[in-house]
Amino acid sequence: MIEAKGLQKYFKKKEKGRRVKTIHAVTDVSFRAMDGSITGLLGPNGAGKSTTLRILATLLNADKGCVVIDGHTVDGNSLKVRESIGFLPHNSGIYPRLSARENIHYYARICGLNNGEASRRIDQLIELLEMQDFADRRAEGFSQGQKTKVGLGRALIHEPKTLLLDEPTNGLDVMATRGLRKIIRRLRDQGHCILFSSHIMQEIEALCDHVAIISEGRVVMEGSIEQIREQTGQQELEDAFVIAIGEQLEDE
Amino acid sequence: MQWLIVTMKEMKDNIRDKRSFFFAVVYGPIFMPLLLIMPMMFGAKANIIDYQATSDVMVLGREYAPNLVAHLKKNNLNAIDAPAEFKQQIQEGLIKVVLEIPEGYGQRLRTAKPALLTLYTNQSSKDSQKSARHIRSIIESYSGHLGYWRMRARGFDHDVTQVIKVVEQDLSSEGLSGMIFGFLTYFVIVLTMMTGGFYLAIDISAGERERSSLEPLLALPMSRHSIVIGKYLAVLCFVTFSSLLATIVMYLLFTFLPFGEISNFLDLSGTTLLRAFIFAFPCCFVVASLLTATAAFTKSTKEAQTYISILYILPMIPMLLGQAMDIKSSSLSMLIPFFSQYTLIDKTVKNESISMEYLAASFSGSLIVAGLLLFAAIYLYRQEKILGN
Repeated sequence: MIEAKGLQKYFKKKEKGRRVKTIHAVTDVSFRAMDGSITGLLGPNGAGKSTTLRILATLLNADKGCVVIDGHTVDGNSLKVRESIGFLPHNSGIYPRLSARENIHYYARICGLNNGEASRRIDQLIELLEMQDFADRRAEGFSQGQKTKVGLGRALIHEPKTLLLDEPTNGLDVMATRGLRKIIRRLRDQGHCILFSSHIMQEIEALCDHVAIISEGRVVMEGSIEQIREQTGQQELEDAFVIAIGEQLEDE
Repeated sequence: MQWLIVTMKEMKDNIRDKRSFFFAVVYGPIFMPLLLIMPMMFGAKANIIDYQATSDVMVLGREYAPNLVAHLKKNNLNAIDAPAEFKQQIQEGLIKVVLEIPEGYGQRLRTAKPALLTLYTNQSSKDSQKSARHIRSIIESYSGHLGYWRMRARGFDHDVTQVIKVVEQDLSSEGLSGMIFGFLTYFVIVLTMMTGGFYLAIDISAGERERSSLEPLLALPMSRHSIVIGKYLAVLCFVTFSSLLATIVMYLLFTFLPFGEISNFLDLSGTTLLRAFIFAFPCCFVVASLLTATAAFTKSTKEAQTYISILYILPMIPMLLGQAMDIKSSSLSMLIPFFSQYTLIDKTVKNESISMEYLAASFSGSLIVAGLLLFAAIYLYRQEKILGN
């Protein structure tokens, strides 16, 4: 389970001359993601989704606010938090010169699994993620869908309770997207807490049980898709999203 | 032992990378000695005269100077008849030099007049110049010998004619050529360390960041220092392996190429090269941590390549400053990385004695600097900026 309260994150950026500009990447992010549920972090590009996920993944320290993941506070207890999360970043970030199996094996060994345990677990994941066709091929030249599956396999290797997926369907074709949705639902049914960031309404609508809408670094609305529709008085999630982020609907 | 897993993965990953492999195994260890050592060896070979080896010298009119011919023979130069068209053959490089003894040579000697000999050479050929120097030095010794007895026969002390005599003693083992070979051995070993770890260091930090593989790695339950130490050890292995391979290639060059006369002046045996490698070994730690820290500091692969290319001159700076400022070897100056390794290798190539105090200073100074740079790399990995954006 993830519980984020009042997260804030600023970056300093050097501009021309000696001027330093402060960028407010996240100004007020609070939401809750439950176990056995898929929570969508929905927002336009630059809304602060990736920064929020990086804070949750212990890669960035929040300037204000706090996050508790599976009972461990993100700030100051990072190793414990990292043991309970599986993180799939944007673009998967797999090693092209290693095979799919070797990519996952590397993470398995770092997470403390011995060779035998790692091999057994990798075989299970290959089956779960339907990677049999390319498991022993080097990742160079993999399709985006195959890369995402390898990345997901790595994120799941240590059986984390919580999964953080940063726009995992980006660049996937329709069939690959449907395949990934099936896998994510299966993981949800196994009791994982899944946080899924995306800027695509259809993705969120098709997959998520719970949604947090983020705009300009702030979570502006949170609830189930039905609740969001009710709160905004809109039937279409896209219209509800536009209203939620404070914009006007265009007249057709 | 998470660091060991990181090390093993980085090595396996980069052995599969053709560029890393090329720079670690081919470019530094094989090309560098071939491109640097071979021309210098040939250059030195062209300058060093082996007075012990017997060789032929073409002489025109050798029947006019039997004693001179005997003197040449005594000094390992066999006089043989020159062909009639020797001038053209010298121009074409077929013959190195020809010594011409005129018919009146004996008569002029008997009347105590200067006897003129003509040495035909080709100054555009290094071989011809070398042979000419060889013959000239033997004839000058013969001339000095005759001059001495000529003065004695007339009741003069030969020393009267020697107004001032400058005696120059080069106390280094072999002078300039030794200095060059000391420098070259150091240069090849240390520069190969840089080329050996160059691609790996960039790939495992800036490259990893660009591939977006750094983020999930840093989100694993592993401390940042374990990651850095793992990566550092992989770079260290590449750096050490490359320089060891370069040392072996240098040994093969010195052993199996026909540079016999150079070994009379320089100690280029396997033992010397092994000692040179051991003395240079602390540089492996410095170079590996320098590459790791620099690659961690940079934002992209391109930036890392630029910075590390500039770093290539770093091993030369302490050595050149040491020479320019005439820094003497002392326990304090031997703490300076690169300078101390150059000094130790230079001494070992020249077969000079090396104190244990210098060795200890060299090892400890380099390890301290390597440790500081490694801490800098760990510090950089602990910063949020390591993610790059």
